[in-house]
Amino acid sequence: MTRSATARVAGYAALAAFGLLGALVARRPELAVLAAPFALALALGLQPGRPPQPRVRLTVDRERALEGDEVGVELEVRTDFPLERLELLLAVPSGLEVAEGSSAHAVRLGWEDERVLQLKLRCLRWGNHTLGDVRLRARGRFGLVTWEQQLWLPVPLRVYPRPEALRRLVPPRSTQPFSGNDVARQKGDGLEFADLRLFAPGDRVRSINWRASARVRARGTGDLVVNERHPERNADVILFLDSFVDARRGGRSSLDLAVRAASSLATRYLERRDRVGLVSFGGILRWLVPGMGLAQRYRIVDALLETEVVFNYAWKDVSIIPARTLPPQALVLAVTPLLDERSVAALLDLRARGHDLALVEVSPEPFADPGDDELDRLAHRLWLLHRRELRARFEAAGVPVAVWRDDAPLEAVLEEVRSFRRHARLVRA
Amino acid sequence: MGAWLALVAENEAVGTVGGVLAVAAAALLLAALALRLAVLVPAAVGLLGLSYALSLLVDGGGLDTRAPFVAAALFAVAELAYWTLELRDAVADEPGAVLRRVSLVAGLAVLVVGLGLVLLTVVELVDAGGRGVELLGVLAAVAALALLALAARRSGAGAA
Repeated sequence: MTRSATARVAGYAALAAFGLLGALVARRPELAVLAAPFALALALGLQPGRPPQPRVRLTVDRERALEGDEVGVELEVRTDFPLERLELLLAVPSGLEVAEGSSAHAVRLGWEDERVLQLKLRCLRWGNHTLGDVRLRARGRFGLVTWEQQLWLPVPLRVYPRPEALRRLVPPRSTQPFSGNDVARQKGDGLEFADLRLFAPGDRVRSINWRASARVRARGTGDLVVNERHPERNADVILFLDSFVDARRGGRSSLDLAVRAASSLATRYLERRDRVGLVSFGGILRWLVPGMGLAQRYRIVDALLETEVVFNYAWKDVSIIPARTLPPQALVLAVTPLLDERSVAALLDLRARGHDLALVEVSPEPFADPGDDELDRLAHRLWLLHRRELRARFEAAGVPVAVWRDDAPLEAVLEEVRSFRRHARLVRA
Repeated sequence: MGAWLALVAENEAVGTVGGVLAVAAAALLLAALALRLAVLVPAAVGLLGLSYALSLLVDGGGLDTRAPFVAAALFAVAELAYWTLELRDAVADEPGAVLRRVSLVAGLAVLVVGLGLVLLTVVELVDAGGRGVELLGVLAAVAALALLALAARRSGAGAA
């Protein structure tokens, strides 16, 4: 621990010196009496003593939490020698705040004594946080000397985004061969009725539609009719997260919303037994090949937690994304603020290559002020027009674009995408 | 305390100057606490001490038996002012810490009164000692200052 003198030393020394000198000059012993307590405090307080050697342990009651959760933290401090006053400060990283208790404590410890200090932290923002920056300050007798030490006792805390409530998702156009929750367009064994056809050798008896067969027989043809059904299959869904640019204002940012949306979508699609992959397209390209199950969910969320905006001027396009990350019949759900030309070009390129693409635009418009003067407002309007034109380009290419502002539920945004895709299907038919 | 010193002064001019010094000391103390400037605390305490010294010099007379009580009060003012500055660090104290601290300051004040009375008694005893005792006093004062300087230097070296 680093020893240092406090402001009291200079103050008490000055008072003692002035008192003693005044007593000599004025020949009044009363002034020496005034100086005596300050001199005595200095003499007792500045005696070199044993430096404090506290041992500190930091524990967190869990390593994973959701946004808004409260996490219990314990600071355990032990010492072999008495400490009149030991101050402990746990530096709380941004994204967390103290919900209960205090991050700064002062304790008095005796011989071979220990204390356990408890506090609760509220997780404000998703991310990989690391607790462990602990500052210690021990005060000597009369507060004349302090010993300070900074400890680094790293304890990881992963805060996951709180999932949005989603009842219905965007159904993919094409399904995969494995069973799942999506009704396939093909006909086969399943639950959903698709069509009727004449009985053919090999058909199961249980698939005969007796009512329809009776009606056909009444017309005199005499053939049996069987039901055809749509099988339930799973789908490949690729979440395309645009992390080139982050629009930020105060404690809110477009990247926060995008990560929250991507996490919610990944969770819900994986619950439906779909294979979900991730492409984080930004200054650093990250990807996860499509997979299923709980392990894939944790892989995706962990990858999302590491998402950050990294400035990079290099031009990037779809060709740098590994081919197996983007299966040909996968639904690509892009979550993007549509601010960077590179991501816009990459998404249009994906569509041009025939991928089933849908866009959730995390609107950066609430993060941009129109400005005060006329010129600023004009520029803002031009920017809004440019954005509208950009959306029109995507829609002309058959890509639904749903604008998401954080005050609206994600469910409503997905409904916009679904209705666009229903409309587009009708037009094509 | 400044007001009391101004009120009990026998000389009217001393009372007026003492009052001014007391007001200045209070202003300095307030500024120290409001602006978190610890350097102003000894200045405020020094002004109060100066007010008392002024009354001693002008009013004259024999040994003032109030000196130990004034010393205890000045020490308590300084301790409480520094404590107030420490409290602004927003550190959560253990239950009972305030009571312990108040008891400590009160105990120190009582100790200071006792020490002052002992010193005054010693001064009275050696009052008839003449030049030799005076020289001894000067040497003691110089030695005390030297000890203080040495201690302050050690403290600084420890910090480095």
